[in-house]
Order: sequence, then structure tokens, then C-alpha cells
Amino acid sequence: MTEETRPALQTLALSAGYRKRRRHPGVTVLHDVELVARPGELITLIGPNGAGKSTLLRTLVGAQPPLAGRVLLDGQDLATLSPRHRAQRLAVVLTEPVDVGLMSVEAVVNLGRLPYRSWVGGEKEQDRAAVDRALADADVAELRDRMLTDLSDGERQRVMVARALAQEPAVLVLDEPTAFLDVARRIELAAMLTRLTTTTGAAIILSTHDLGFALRRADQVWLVGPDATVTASAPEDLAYSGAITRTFAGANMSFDDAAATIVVADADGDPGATVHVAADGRLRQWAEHAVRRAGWTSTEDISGPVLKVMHGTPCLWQLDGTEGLGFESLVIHLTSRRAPQ
Amino acid sequence: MSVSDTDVEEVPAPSRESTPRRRTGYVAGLFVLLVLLLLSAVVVLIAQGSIAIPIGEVLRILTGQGTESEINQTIVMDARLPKVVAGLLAGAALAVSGVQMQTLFRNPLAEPFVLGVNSGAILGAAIVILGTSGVGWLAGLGVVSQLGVTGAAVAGAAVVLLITLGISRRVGNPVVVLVIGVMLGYLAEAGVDMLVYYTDPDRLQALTTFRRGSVRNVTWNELQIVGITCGAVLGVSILLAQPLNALLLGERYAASLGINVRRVHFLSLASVAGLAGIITAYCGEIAFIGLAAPHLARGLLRTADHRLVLPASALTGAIIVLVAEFIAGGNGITSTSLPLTSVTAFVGAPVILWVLMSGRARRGTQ
Repeated sequence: MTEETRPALQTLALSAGYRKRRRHPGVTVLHDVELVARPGELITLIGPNGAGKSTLLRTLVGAQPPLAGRVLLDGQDLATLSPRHRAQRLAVVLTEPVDVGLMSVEAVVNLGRLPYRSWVGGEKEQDRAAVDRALADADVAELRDRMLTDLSDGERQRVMVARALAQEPAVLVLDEPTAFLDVARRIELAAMLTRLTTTTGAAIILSTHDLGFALRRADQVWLVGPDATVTASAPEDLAYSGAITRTFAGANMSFDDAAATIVVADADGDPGATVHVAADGRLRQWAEHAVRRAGWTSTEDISGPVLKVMHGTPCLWQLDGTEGLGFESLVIHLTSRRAPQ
Repeated sequence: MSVSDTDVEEVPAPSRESTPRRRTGYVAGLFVLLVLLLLSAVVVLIAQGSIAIPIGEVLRILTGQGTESEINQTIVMDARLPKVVAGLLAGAALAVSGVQMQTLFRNPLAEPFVLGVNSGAILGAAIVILGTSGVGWLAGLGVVSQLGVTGAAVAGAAVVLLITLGISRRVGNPVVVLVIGVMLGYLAEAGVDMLVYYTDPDRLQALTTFRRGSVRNVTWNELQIVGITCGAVLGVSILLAQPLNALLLGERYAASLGINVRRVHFLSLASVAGLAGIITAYCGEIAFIGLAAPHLARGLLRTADHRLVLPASALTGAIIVLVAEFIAGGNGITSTSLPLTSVTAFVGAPVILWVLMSGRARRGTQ
């Protein structure tokens, strides 16, 4: 990423919210937002419900005017761009599933070419090429003659991404694209979006509730905090500095660094029940998982009790002369040892 | 792995080559068929009647080659051709209104008759006619007052259209909107009944006939107005095909594609009010064309693409009205004449039932 790269999308002292209307007081949801999205970046937008993720996205795509400040798309003020020119540089994929009736995948993707056509204009060679490329990039080329209504949720989501790509945008905005997808489809979508940043060179901005997804894939995370500000940072910086914990974690919750997600902290937090886990790799991870589940804390300190776990299915564990097979017996043993204290 | 890889690569390649060509051929063939059906409906309807005229002679008269029989010339040109042209325009206009309403309302059951737009047009026309104490029901009015009545009908249609659209945005459920539309239609009709009954009970009968739809009483003079206005509005509607396609994705997606949603809504609503209003002012209420023709066209074309559905619906609508007119009394076999709506209901009601049963109405799309 060179310093000279012109931002695909940039906000300058942006305030987003709702103007005063009849019987509705004006509300500033976010203020002094300074964000930069460079070409080829995958940016995730996270924040608690009601913090203003949707308001920010709506302002970034020009669906609602900023209260103050400016949004620059490819260096041009979004407010001065005609809707048509805006649509040639910025495409969106919305959360809600669309139901277009009898339309083939190709016809739906072809709608993405509307910003390049007049109301009566026909399809040019350029349009057909862009549609073909979008179908291939979003991995739906083999679905092109199918009806949109016959597809699964995951396939339909990819078709909507292809439709957005047909606009050949510099910025692609996705509003909670993972909302209706199961785990496998989410991973597919994440891999596809990562690939798209390189194949299309577009900046991709997506909002999500899936913290693991947001942190693992993003080049940059925009964190909408409860104090009406947006923090832009590398995912690691946000996690390490504790900003995510402060924003998301309620009482009795903490940020699990290994799992990259918020977990429920142990209610009693008994410090006495510590154990050192002697194992490696996946075995160590799951042994620590079992230890936590039993209400113990795993420690680096080897002066206390040491839990040895050996490979096998089920695994063999040894702790202070007791041994057993499988994690279930381990958790039962640990729980019973902790109970009398 | 390698075996399945080659399978995957080989299967889509030929289908990508041949499918678009086969599809283009199918669509073109369908349009040719519809045009041929329409032309034969036109010729048969002109040939048949209380006095049958040989089809060869009908063709000679229509193509301007002249004929020995002055009577046949008069029957074709002055009695039957206006009726056929009016039916053709009415069918096309109502079908195109139906397509647009279904997309605008995001409701597969939306249609000028079902949602009371026709009744609104009649109410508008009735207010002007009774207010200006004309002699007959449109007949006998000069061109200026005809335009006044037509304008009032369009305004009445527009008012009902705006009310139902406002309600449908709040309610969302297509079936509830349907019931509300029917109720609004009843209200408008009750308004017409009250108006007519209190001003001139004698004209109630004339109104009843008019209300149930007929293309038989339209004259060449009137057709000039209907033809020019409907033709212009139909042209505008065809221009709206691509923005209407974008609206199939929903208003937010349409806006993100650079479509000025408000302008498209306004133009489309205005064209629906224009088409439904004008046709109702001259031909009365012809039910269900706006429902049957678009659904048939979409089913035959296997697409909701307005660039194809709008013209195909116009052709289908025209064919349905001409066939209905043939059954309703233009066949010369019986001397009775039915209102058009009594015939078109046989096509329209099953379509409503089919849409309701197939669950499309619940999902709220076409």
C-alpha cells in the first residue's frame, strides 16, 4: 500500500445522523468521523446494536445526507455526484433477501449495468463482458441460466455480489452479508470477498456482527463505539488495546484472544483452582478449553498441579496421580476436585 | 478429482453457447405468434357479425383495394373497425397498466379494476358529466367536453391509485391491499350511484351498461383522442422498462443503481392513471385484463424483464379483449350482447385464484 494511493472512499469531519423534522428532534449519531478506505482493502465495520453502523453505512453510500463534513468517493464529493455517476463507482449489497420473481441469474446481474445505459439503451459488448466477469468473479458463472428464486440463500447472496460487481465499482459496500448464512457459507463468502479485493481492486466495506470474521479477514476494522465515535485501526491493534472488549463486553464478559471473540467470564473467578497444561498444539487448546469449562484457570506456573495430556482417541490425561480417558472424565474430575473448596 | 474436474468444466460450456440463442429464438417466435393471433382476431372480428363479410373482402377493404359493395365498405370501416381498434387499445392499455401496478405495488394481484382505479375514473367522469348536464353518457358531448370528462376520469383514477399506494406501503400484505382496493372501488361506485340517482334516475340504466364495459359505442372521433393519448402514454411506459426492472430489486437497490425512484414512481403512476382513466372514460370498466395479460405474458416468456413483458402483455391484453368481444356478441351467431367484463372474468378470476393458491401473493412479489 503506497502512500500515494488515492483513497477509494474518504470521510472528512463527517457527522452522521438525522435532521430535525416535524415531531422528530434532530439526532447526531456519529461525529467527527475520519475514515479512509484504500483500493483493494477489506474493511469490516463492527459495533454494538444501535451504535450507528447502519447510519454510517447509509451516509457513506449517499442514501442519507451527512449532517456535517463530507464523504469523498474517488476524490469527489458524494453530494455533488449525480446518482448515475455515483452508481458507476459505488455498489451496495443489502441485508434483506430480494425476491424479484421470474428472473434468471444473468438478468439480475445485468441490472448492475443500468448505470451505464440510458433508459432505452441496449446491451453493448462492454456490458456483456462486465456481466461475464462479474459472474466469474463471484463464482456464479455456472448458475447464470438458473432462476434466482430457485437458488439457496448462499447462492443468492453471491448473485447479489455479482450484480454489484457488474457496476464495476471502486467501492463495494455490504450490509451484514453474513446475516442469513450458515458457518460454511460465511467462510465461503469471506474467502470470496478477500479474493475480490485483489481481482477487482475495489475497496470492500462490510458491516457484520461476527467478530471472529471481522477480525480475521479485515485489513482495517472500523469500530463504532457507544460514544458516537468511529475508531479505524488494524484488527490486532483494536483487539490488543482492549478497545473491542470495552465496546462489546458487558458485565462478566471478556475477549478471548485465541478465539477472537467475546466470551462469558467465569462468574466466581476462583483464583485458587489453577493448573498447568502440559500438551501441545490442538491438544493443548482443547485441554485448556476443558479446564476453563470445569471452572479452573490454566496457568504458565509449573509449581502447582500439572495436567499432562497425551495424544489418542480418546486422549489420555494424568493429573496428580489420577488418570483417565477423554475430556469428559477430565472435566468431571476437575469439577469434583473444585467443589469442596 | 481429475475426472470430476473435467466433468464440471465440460458441462456448462455447451449450454452457455446454445442457451441464449435458443432463448432468443423462443422469444422471437412467441412475439410472432402473438402478432399473428392478434391480426387474425382483428380480421375475424371484422368479418363476423350480424352480417357476415367474406374474409377476403375484409382484407381487400382494410388494405385499401376497394370493393364492389358500398354496404360492406361502410360496415367494415364505420361499424366494425372502430370497435376493433378500441378493443385493441383498451386491451393493450389495461395490460400495460397492470404490469406497472404489479411492479410499483410489489403485489402480483395489483390491477386497475381490482384496486378500484377504474371505479375512481368513473366517479371522476360522472362528477363532470352530471355537473355539466350533458345529454348522454359521453355520446353527444363535443370534443372539448369530452376532453374534460377524460381528464376528470384520469384524475379520479389517479386519486384512487395514490390512496391505494399509500395504504399498500403501510400494510404490505398483498391480500389485505387487495381487499382494501375492492372496498375503495365499492365506495367510488356507491358515490357514482348516489350522484346519478339524485340527479337523473333515467340515466342509471345507461350508466350500468357503460360501467360494465363495451367497446361497441366508440366512434372515430372519440378514437382519435383515445388513440393519440393512449399511444403516447404507452410509449412512455415502454421507456420505463429498464427503471421498472431495477425496481424489481426493491427501492433501495434501484436507488443504488442511480435510478431516480421518485421520478420513475411519478411517471409510472401518471401513465397508469392516464391509461386506465382514458380507457374507462370511453369503454367503461373492463375487468381483469391488467391481471390476466401480464401473468400470461410472464409465464410464456419465463421472465419478469419489463422490456419483454410490457410489449408481450400489451399484445396479450389486446387479444383477450378482442376474443372477449367476439364471445360477448361480435360473433353474429347470437343476437344478444354481453358486457365485456362478464367474459373477461372467466380469464381473470382463475388467474387471481392461481396466484393466491401458488403462494406468490403471500411472498409479495410477482
